[in-house]
Amino acid sequence: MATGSGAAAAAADAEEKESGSRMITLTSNEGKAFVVTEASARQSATIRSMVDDGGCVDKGFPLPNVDSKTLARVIQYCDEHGNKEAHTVDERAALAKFDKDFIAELDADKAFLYDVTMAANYLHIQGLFALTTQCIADTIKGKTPEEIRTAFGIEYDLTAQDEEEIKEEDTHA
Amino acid sequence: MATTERRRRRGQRQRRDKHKRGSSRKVARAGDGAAAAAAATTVEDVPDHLLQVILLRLDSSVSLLRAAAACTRWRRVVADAGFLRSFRSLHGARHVVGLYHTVDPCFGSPPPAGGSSVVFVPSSPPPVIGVDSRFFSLDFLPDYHDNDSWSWQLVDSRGGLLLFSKKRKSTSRWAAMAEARCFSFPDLVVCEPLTRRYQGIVSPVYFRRLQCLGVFLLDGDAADADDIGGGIRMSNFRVVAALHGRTWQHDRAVPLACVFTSGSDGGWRVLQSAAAAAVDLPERFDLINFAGRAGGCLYWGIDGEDGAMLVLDEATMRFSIDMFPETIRASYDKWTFRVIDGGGSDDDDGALIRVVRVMRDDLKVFAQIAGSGEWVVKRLVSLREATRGLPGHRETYFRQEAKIVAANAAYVLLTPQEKKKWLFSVELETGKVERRHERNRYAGAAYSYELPWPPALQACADYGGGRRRRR
Repeated sequence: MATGSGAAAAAADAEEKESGSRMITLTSNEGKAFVVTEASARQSATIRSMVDDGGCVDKGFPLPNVDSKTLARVIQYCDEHGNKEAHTVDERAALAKFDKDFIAELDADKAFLYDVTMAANYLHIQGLFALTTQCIADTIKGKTPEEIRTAFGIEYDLTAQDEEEIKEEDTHA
Repeated sequence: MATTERRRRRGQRQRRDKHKRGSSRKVARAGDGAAAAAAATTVEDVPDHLLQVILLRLDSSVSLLRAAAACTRWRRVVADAGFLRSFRSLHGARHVVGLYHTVDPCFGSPPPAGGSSVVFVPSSPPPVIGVDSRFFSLDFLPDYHDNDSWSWQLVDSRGGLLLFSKKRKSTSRWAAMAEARCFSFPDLVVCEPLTRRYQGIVSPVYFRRLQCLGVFLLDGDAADADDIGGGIRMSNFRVVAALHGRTWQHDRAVPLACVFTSGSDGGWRVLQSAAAAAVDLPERFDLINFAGRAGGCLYWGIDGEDGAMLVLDEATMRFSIDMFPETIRASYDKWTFRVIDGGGSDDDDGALIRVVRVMRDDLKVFAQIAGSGEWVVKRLVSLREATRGLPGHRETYFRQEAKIVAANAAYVLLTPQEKKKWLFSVELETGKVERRHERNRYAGAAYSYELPWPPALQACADYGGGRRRRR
């Protein structure tokens, strides 16, 4: 018995050392389970700290703030960045190209872009968060207030006093 | 009144935002199954702290100001003091909005545009929406008249403040030139065009008979500078006057620095440092010419003293004598020799100071390399060649040395001696020579006008409800 359990523990240790081979389950707010490699899941600082704190890896992690569609897209990013190496120039270029295509696709669907941004914030996925927030900021750049409202579907709700303040700012802008 | 009103509206907005976020959040619809069928996420669903992160990633204050004009919520997020502090630390504190151009009396009257002897020209290329020079009008100043007999003369700018000195009553151009040569301590006015406020400063009786080498604006005492305002504002500034003091010693004089501090316990103070007494100057005032300001120091060339420069360090308020190498100086004539700021931090050499010189028909820019102190030629423009092809150019130009009309870190304004009104400018960064440029219309020094960042939002924070302009 004693030897048996010892062997099991050793096996578990070996498995843990071999990072990436262990699988982790993430569950969306709709109850859908996504199985990902640990390396992929570790892209998220939130999950990383839970794993390192010895959280119940087996039961998986429920993510009540993320829906399935968003989670699937976030995992796509994590898989690429978690499982691929970025040591050589070529590898880094490949990742950069992935990011570029990834964000271009998201940019075409603003509602989805906001979902992914909020999920990246919630899960603390730094690279993804930087990517999406920069993309939104780039949409603002070079536009007039009117164009910004159109691009973001913002309702015009300024008061007369706001208007006057803005007129003053315009003279300095 | 206005402040309370603003606060009340802000409160309403916050409540509304909270309500919106609570109801439309997808989280609330967990288990809904078809996320796509639910109302699409909008930018309204992005919480304030994430919106801040996004806005911090904007490249410039212009972009930010436009974003702040999109809706009330974005306005509120941008106006947050913490946010502004972060943005400033990422993108720099200052925001140049334009130049106040003056016209040197040697070149006649200013063009009628604007009507006064000082003309504001917004930065070029025009930064977008409705830049309106009216906001930078100086008509709130004392005895302002819409003609060039106005008794005040713009002598310096710093941040959002301007410094004017009282002009002597001059009847002719010759008289004006003669007066420029013996400039006794004048009355002054410091003003802030944006808020249309000014403060008059009467020259101290003791010093009225001393000749004045120049008056300059300085940041206020650091203790009073908070993190919103930056270093200078109407409630926190200093003015330094450099004076030429006669001594009992034959033929010699000493420089004196006299500082005016704003505020209730402010006023004029003479700095009698030992170092000041150690520096001596020729008794002849007209041999000392102001050459420029660079790297936190003010420079005067002293003719006939083997290349000696009088230097006043703005931080320590001490005078010293610096010798410039022979390759750079010839005479310290204001028409051929100017000191300007270094190229800024993007300059590889990190030069703090540059010298602009006209030597025969060449314009040369020298920079002193930080560290080694060595001077190198950074740019050489053959004026005869470079101006060929510009409208109105004649082959007869530049047989005599060209004159430097004005010089600053960005460009040099010049004219051939053969025709004083054929003004052209040389962009220092690119070496590009231009004839048709707004700035070439004014034959005199130009003073940059900056606003502490970000302009009107800052004004909101600064002056509260009282910032309505007096009409």
